[in-house]
Amino acid sequence: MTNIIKIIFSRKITAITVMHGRKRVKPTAEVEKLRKEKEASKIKEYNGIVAACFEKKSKCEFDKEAFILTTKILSQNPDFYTIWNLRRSILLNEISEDCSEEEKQQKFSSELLFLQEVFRHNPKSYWIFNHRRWCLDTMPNPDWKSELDLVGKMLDMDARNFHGWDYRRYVITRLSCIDSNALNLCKTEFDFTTTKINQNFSNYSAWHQRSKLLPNLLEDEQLGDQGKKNLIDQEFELVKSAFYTDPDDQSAWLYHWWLIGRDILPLTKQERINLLKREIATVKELQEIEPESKWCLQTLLVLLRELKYISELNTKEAMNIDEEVITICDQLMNIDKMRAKRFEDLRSKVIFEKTTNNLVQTSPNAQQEIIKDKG
Amino acid sequence: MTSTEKTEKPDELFIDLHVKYIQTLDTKKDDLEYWLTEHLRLSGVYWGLTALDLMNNVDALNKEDVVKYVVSCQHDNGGFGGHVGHDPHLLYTLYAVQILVIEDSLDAVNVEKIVEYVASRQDRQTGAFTGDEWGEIDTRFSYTAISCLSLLKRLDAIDVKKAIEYIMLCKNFDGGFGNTPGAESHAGQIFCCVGALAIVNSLHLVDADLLGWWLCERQLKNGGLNGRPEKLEDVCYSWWVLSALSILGRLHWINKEKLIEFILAAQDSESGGIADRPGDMVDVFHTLFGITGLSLLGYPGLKPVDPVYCLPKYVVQRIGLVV
Repeated sequence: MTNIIKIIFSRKITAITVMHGRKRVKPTAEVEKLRKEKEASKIKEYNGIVAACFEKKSKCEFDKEAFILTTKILSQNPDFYTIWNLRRSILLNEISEDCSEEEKQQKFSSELLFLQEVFRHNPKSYWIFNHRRWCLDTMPNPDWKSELDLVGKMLDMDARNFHGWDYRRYVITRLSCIDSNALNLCKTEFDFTTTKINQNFSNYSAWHQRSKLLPNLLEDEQLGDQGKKNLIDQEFELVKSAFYTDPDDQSAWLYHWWLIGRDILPLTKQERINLLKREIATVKELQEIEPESKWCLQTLLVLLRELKYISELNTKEAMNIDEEVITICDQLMNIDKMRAKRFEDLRSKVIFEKTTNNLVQTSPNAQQEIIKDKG
Repeated sequence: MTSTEKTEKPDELFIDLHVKYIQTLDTKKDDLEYWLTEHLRLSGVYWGLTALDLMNNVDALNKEDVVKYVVSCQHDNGGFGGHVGHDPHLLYTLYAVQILVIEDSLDAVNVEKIVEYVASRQDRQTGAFTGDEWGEIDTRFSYTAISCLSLLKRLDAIDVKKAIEYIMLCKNFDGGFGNTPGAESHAGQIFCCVGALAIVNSLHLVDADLLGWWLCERQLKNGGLNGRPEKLEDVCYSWWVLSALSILGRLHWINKEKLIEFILAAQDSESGGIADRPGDMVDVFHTLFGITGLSLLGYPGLKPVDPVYCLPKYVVQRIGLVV
């Protein structure tokens, strides 16, 4: 396994190792010849710098000259991880000698600026983020608020850049070491995800982040029962607006399934049953407007199965749910042909349950034993 | 000035072309790109060699040369770098072991030293693995370490229970896994976590139906698979999604024919190689994952691939591993 490396070139270059999103062109022999001539001097120059750098490394000469060589290489090739390692060794060497706190701070501040420059052309390089984290964890006075601003801008540019979100979580973790009010940070981050979701309901990364924050907010004792209820209701409202706006977008639906899950919301059994029935009604309402919406139907499967599992249904009620589930599976096998076998599997499972239900006692507990999983 | 090729929709796998393509990779020395990717040289050998073996052409690369090259990448601490003189890292250490296992030449290196290096990457408090001494943590490295030690029959060298604990911290609301606790689900990470859990007999910790559902939703209208919601299809995700589905016993949840069509369409029918998607430039990375994807889908003419180790099944069986 390796990094998925996106090498951004401004010129057409023959791919050797890993390429993403570069159109295939077959240049004429003449064009190829010209390209190779142009590159010949670049190759010589680049290899020369690399050779010089490795020589410095082998002699452990962690000096200014070596540092400049690493700058040249990394500006052009930020995935050359060995050179980042060398650069760190040089920096460590510089700050271990006669170096005031102010000088150390200055060195790292310059380093962060250099990283920003390299990042602009390579927003998805693991090595750049590694080095940035290392700088911040090594420098005397890291400015975490400024880093938070920076990552906010990154996510404005690309709201789905998982490196950006990972980096944001890292910054928040560091901030929470300084700011003892972790809950406050949790709330501001939660609001950040709300902003991102309102900008674009399909921002899966924001919904995901939200799933990590909501449980912490629900644990806040100061919230009280009414506060928790309000928070939960707001959550369902948000999800509902999202899937009503775009019934084809999976983010809100998957978040919805998770919300309904057994471990997330602090509800009594009866509250959960009421919630499921309410959500089933909500989704069915949407389904009437969008009969071909596969996500409405898939969600009904999840909700109905869950309802059957947790309710104490008599045989007739349970059978009705099974029938409804089977009908929905048939519909989905038709609407979402690519994944037909997935629904076929579920359909078979339900039929099996129906058939074997008669072979055991029909007490609710026995039914629950048979339906071992949520699917 | 330049000419674009006609749009084509190949419906066969051009094995001979791909073999030649892989054989000529090391000759592109007048391309700047060749030099800019030196740090991927060892990875490239693994990708190329595995693809060749699956295409029944493992000897298309000279075994002695390959082994000699791998050996030259090992450091005193047991770890391997991406190329001669490049710093040791867990990722390249796995590639090295995978290559040597294919070439049946583990005796060419100091295995005990490798075990020592890999084991030293584990943080015994959290169970997580760092990629190298500089401390990056990622579930990719959990997989790399577990896979590597499993191939060397030395899983005893790490705290497996803690390793599992850390992986489970990375489980998400959608049943998937991210690179660190709190990180978003991504097909690559999912392959790593599911693969690692499979090796250590802990698949029961995965919600197979939920994750299987998320994974099969990666298939787009054009038959290709993406790596997470709202992203573009890519041949390499066809491996990571497919292998995870296969491990979870739900490979039939995607449309096989459409995916095969997509992968075949991403070939370069003139010069060989496979790209990330039809019409794009080819590379050895996507060539491998196109081939492994096709192998998992039972495409004729290819050896079966092991979905956990991403090695030909017969190689995994030869060293006595059954997952």
